[in-house]
Amino acid sequence: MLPDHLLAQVQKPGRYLGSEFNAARKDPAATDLRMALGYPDLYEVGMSHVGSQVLYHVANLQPGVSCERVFYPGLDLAQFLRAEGRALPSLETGTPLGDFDLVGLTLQHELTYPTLISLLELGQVPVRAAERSDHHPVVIAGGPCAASPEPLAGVIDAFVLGDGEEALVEILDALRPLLKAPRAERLAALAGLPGVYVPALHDPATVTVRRRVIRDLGQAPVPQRPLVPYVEVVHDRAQIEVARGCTRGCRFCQAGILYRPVRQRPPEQVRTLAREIIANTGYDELSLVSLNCPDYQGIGELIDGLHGDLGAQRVSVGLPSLRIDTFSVDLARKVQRVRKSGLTFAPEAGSQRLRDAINKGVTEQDLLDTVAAAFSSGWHLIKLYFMIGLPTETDEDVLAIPALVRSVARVGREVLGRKASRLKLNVSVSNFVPKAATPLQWEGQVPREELLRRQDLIRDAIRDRQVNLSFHDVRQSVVEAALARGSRATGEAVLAACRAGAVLDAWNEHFSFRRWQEAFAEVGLDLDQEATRDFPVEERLPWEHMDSGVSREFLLAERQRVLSGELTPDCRLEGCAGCGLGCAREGAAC
Amino acid sequence: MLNAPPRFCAIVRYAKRGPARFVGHLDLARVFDRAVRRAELPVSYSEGFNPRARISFAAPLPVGIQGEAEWCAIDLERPLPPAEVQARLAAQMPEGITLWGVEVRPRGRRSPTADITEAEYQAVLGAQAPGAEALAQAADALLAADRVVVHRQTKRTDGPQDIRPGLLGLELTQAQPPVLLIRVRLSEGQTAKPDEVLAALARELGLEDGLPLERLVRTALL
Repeated sequence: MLPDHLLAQVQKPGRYLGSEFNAARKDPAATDLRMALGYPDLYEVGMSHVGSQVLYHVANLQPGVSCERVFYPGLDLAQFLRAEGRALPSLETGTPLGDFDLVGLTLQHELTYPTLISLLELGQVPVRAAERSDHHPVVIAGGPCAASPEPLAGVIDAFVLGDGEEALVEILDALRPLLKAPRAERLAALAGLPGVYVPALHDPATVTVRRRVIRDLGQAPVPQRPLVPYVEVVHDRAQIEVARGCTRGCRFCQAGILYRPVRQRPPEQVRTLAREIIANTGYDELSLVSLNCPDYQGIGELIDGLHGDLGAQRVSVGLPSLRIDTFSVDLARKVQRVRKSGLTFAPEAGSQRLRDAINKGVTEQDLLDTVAAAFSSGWHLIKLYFMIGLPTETDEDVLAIPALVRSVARVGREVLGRKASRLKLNVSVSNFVPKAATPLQWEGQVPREELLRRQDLIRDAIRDRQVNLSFHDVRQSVVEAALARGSRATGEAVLAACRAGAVLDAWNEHFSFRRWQEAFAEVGLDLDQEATRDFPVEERLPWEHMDSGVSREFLLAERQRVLSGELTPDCRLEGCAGCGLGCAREGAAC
Repeated sequence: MLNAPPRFCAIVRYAKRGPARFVGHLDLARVFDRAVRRAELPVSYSEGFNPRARISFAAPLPVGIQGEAEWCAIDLERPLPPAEVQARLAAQMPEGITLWGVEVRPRGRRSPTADITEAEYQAVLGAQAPGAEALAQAADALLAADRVVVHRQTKRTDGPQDIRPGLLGLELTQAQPPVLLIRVRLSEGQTAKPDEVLAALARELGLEDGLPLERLVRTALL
């Protein structure tokens, strides 16, 4: 909620009203702990994030707690707020961010760090944790980037590693009796909770923070009444998390480690939730969310059931993630009776050798059969995702990407026959960014110039008007890599970048590579060196106090298998791979 | 029969107040679309791949302006008691959208919103506004002019615009605080916007910073 004179001046004021349908309205007289849940990006991005809606719901379920939302405002509003000396207000009640007891922030990817810091600064909360006093909020953060927290260790009071549903309740319970207590006492209470890292009290050289894992997704709270935004957001639809985790074991993938083991929401519960959420929101589209939807056991029956339940209400069902197999195309046919959008597949690497090295485990024939099935089912648009710069990649591997694209185009033209002119391939090439907690966490990123050269190799090898080629910005990937495996010194560079005006860096128009280079230089670091450095396997890594539960031995063995090209099968299909979680021993549904 | 027009429609009259004033027109259309779905009204849907509830709005209300006489027409597949439509829909409206009347009637081929040609606005001015006499004189001067040129900036245009053909009435209806009644034409290309009328009036009065505006309300669609 903003004052009228600001609403009247800003772009898209519908973002700032806070009165969206299903927004929480808790009686302030009946609450003693006030929490602000912040997403460090624009409203349209933050409101599309399922996890934030879950935590908003979880917090507001607690007696005595009220939880409100904040997002990073449009640059016009940020400027007006600064000019008026007004602190960033919460959406629901217009309360300045600094007046909350607790601020919770999500760490979805590294390029949001400057936005996160600017959000605190706009909220008039001291950006450095050490500068906050008793009357300032406690600032907590969670999400995948908590697996490598040191760059933000000077900013965040407490990090939560892993699933947030239970941990958040414990944090709220711990803080409620201590709201009048000195800050040090509150931090000490948080430091005693499992899965919580408090940089002011824990020594990263000795502490071990074990990732929180909820056992049963079916028991975890889900909002039956999610918020319905006024303005169109990125994912403007109902979303239900049907499963958490993926055990396919791609060796570059951080989510594949950080969300283990796979937990499924029971199909009957998904169907009940779907009916409730559609009835309570009025959405005409439902998306099933997980890292890997086709791996959901009973997915076909679930989709049929949802069609039966919701078809009469003209609700369409969507799957965001597909595997490379004809089963996935069959699923896509079920959900998309109209072939309005394309199908997306991610072979990741062009050559079989490199796909085996990263444990992608699909063959060229799998891909060609899959796209043939898609083309013969009426699709004309296929999106293919590749990644360059993977460890061990040679020019031969890089050139295998355009070769594979040509094969897909050939199959497309053959299958489409007379309609071949409608064929369209969108090929998107990203750059490998080594991430903490993965088997590739020790590897440096391929240098910037080399990544650019490999992009050129691909660009020069694709000459097809029906192929639309796009590359992820190498400079953004370099910054991402430098932050993803950073230290506290890296954090000083982030603060320097913020002082120089960095914000909303994931948006190309706001990103400035030079600003990042200068910020790193200002604190005595070299941005490119930070991105490309190898970490010796003998040493404790700067993020190794954050324990995903997957053992160092398993990660090192997987790293060895990158060189040997040996595949590690999915533990759900071919038995425990011994990743260290020990779910087989515990008899969990894994 | 596939494309037979719906036979009934609900004329829903509502006010748009408070923060809801800042919900844009397209967003408001989505608010209604989702509200009729939640209310489970027997709404008629468009054909095609992306069926949409058939709801037509009377003239879009500019963002930020309060509306007291807004309405839309929702096509129904079968008639329902108006009180039931109102109760079911009202329960699904976000804060600031207040339904004040529903009428259910047979629907012809012509869209019920097609006949709206004029809108009336009430502008309540602040205490620092010029005196009643000066305001009334300036209003008369605008109405007597052949051309009233203002600067119009929209997505499509950015330049001088004569709003005189769109200005149908401008009258001081109350002296303290001063209240102006503005009547404008809504037809495409010939419209005048209330803020443009106020800007022209301020210029007539020699006020560089514009008139002090307390509140702007659309009071009627004719």
